[in-house]
Amino acid sequence: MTFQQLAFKNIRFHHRQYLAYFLSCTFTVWLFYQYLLLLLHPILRDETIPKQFVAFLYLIQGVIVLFSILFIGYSQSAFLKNRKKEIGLWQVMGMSIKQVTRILFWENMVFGCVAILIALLMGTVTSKLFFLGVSAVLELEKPIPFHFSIEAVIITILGYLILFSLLSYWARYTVKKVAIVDLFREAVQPKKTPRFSLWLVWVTLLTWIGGYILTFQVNIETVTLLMFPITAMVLLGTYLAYTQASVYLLQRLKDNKRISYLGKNLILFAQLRFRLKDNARILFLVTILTSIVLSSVGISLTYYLKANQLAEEQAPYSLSLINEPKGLTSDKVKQEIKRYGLKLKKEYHIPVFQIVLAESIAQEKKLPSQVSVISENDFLKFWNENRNKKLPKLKDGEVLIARNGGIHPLQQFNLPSKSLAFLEKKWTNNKEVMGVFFNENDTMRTLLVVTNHDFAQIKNHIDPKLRVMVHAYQFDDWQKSRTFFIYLHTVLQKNSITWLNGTNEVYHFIKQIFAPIMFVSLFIGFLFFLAAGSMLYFRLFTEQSYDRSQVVVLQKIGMDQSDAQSTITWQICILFFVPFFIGVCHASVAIKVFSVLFKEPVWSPFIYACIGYFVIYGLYYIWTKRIYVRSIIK
Amino acid sequence: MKILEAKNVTKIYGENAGAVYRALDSFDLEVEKGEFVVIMGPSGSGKTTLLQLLGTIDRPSAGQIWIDQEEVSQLNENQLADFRRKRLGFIFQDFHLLDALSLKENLILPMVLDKRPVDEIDRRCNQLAESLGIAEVLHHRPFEVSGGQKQRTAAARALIHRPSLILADEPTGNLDSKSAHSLMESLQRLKTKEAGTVVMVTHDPATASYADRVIFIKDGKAFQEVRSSGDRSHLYQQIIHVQTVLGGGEGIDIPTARF
Repeated sequence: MTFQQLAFKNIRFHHRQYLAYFLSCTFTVWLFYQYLLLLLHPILRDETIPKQFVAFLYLIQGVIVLFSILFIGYSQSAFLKNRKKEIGLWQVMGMSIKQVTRILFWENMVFGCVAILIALLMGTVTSKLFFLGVSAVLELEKPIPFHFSIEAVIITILGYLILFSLLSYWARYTVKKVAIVDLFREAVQPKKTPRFSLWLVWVTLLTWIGGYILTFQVNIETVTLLMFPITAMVLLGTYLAYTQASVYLLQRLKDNKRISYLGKNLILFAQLRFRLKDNARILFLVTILTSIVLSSVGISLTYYLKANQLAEEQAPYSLSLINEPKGLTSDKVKQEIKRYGLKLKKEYHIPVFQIVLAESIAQEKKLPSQVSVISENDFLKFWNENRNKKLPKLKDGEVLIARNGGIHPLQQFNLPSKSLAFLEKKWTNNKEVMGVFFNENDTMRTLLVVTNHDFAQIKNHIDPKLRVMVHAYQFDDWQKSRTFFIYLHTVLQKNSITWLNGTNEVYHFIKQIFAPIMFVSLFIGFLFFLAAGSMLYFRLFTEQSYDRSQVVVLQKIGMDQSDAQSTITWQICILFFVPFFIGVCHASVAIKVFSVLFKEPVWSPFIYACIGYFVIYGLYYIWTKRIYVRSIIK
Repeated sequence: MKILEAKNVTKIYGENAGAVYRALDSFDLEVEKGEFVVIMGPSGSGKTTLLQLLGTIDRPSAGQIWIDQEEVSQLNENQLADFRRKRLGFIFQDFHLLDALSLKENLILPMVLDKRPVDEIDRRCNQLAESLGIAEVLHHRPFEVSGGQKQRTAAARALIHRPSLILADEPTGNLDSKSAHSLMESLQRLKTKEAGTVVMVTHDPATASYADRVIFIKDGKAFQEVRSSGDRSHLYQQIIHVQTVLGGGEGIDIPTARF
């Protein structure tokens, strides 16, 4: 019997515990290989693939490598801790640390090779599908063709073999920490009863609920300001919930005799107290991973799938032009619209005055230094477009400030500052409305709405050069207007929303940002999820011998096997799903915060994401439960 | 010839933590080649600590230990691993067999680790399995056989490489009295046949009565020593007597089976 044979026997014997580790490794290698195939694909040198996407690919590849190192390293040390008795015994029998490391090295090699092999085979088969998916997300006209690259295979094999050997070498530090003295002592030392402090239970409630309440205060201006305190509060609340509130809750349940004296509840509650507190850190991590995954996937999915809705909300008009740049008169525009096969539904041509305010006035009225004045009648046309609410009625001399949402940085008008008589007056009833009234552009960012009479007055006093015509067109189907916009860009030669904007422009912009982000978060999300599940899996196996003896004792005092088993499956269930559901809660709050750009939060993509991950997670749970229970009851 | 010599061995726990606990206090021990020495004493008297120090699992806080003319406290980790592999054999209370391996593979592991020739390993394995009565179950896995069979396998594992010193920690603690008896019988026979030296820690007077010499310790110090006259039942009576004295009316160390 050689070291290789001993390693092989170990793998065969520990295959149950190795399985989660093995699957996670295989998946990681598969993902790495898949992205590498894409990275080395000749099509990337093509113009059709957006540059951001390639950058994202490198980012994902980086994350996968980092993840591989951390995750495989963590799994290995967790796995070694589960086997400390065996490793201690080897040492007692005179194996040096070098020899122990060598056995572990062979174990890692055997199984790393199998994982790599399976991943490569699987990856080559699935790469076609993967490329199709990429093509669909990027809306490429021609799908990316299948491409096999021997380079990718070699890089994957070498990379992961090196990683596995380095990690085996690193295992010696874990081995050193395994105290062989433990072999002589009682295997399971009694644990201390978990305690809690009532004070900290209150802190849990306050921080958690406080964090959630704060999210209702979030709007587009406060989002960056409130994000940090909300995150900090929720994190603290979650951590304390696992370490303090869970113990408190179970204590109360246990004290309630009507509940706890009901069959196996007594055992369940007593054991859960230890389980939850022992695993608080892992549960916390799993919760945070779940929240991050679900919120990032939810957000990017929302913005990707609902890009059309968002585009319509952010840019209500299919095309907007300011003045008539490069001879694009409204007649010419209409002619071109027809030429591109689009049908015009509505058009507006509205005069406004661009005014740069003196610093003092801008400050006094809390306005940006550049505003535009519009007449009440004209503004109503925009307002009535998609709102049921009545606009407050204006009297002569009154001003309504309309703030048009926008995210682009403002470009300064190149105009001397100007003062108007009505601006000098004290505004008695300062009315204000906020929202998206017009496609975002610098002219329409802040509007001062005055009565038609006042507008005519201003017109008489103001330099006619400050008069700007705003053109807005509505097509029957803006989704088809991409080529038209490309044409407009070539005419204007400058891609600036100062002049030109439209629903399709915004749509295109959102898609370009969120397609790669969605792609990234879906895969990284899956990776994180798998990691979360595997962490729980490893944690479970550290309690294996304890649970086994527990079941034996329960059976001895007359519990039948299925009941004894169910005290354990319930604990596994709670370990898996409590973090999941708390994660869903956190993520839905995050979705609410991050959908500020929408008029109201859109839930459907998030719900799809949750259901999707719930199914994956549920399968992982069922699988874990089966394997664990089988390992307990032999 | 002296196989084992311990001089002034002291072990103090928790020196850094503040709560200092003196598990062994200037303990001396000499064991001749071929001797069977049993260490007895109440819980917490330092028996297991002594065994750990003798087994080079832990290092003494003060004092020296010579095994086979080698001062083990002078050896570094790698030398110790090598030393344990060649000169020491261990038997534990809960067997500590590797579940991944069959009984035979468990049994031959020390020789395999020492890279001995295959036919020598096989010869030795058959010889021991025969005399311990486990030849029929050798191809089984540890969880498929009885506790007695497991412990006899573990004993064979401790003996197979003809170590200078065999250390046993409560080897009958997990066995019923019949298995315990048969284990001790075979152990004694093999020890005599192979001229092995055994130091064993136990709670059980019946197990201890197989010894040539029984040393009682209390609070980390040697308390009394009893030599066998060759008659087991006589030694048994003497052990019971010393235990009664040792208990001193309070906390009498009643032999218990731990599970």
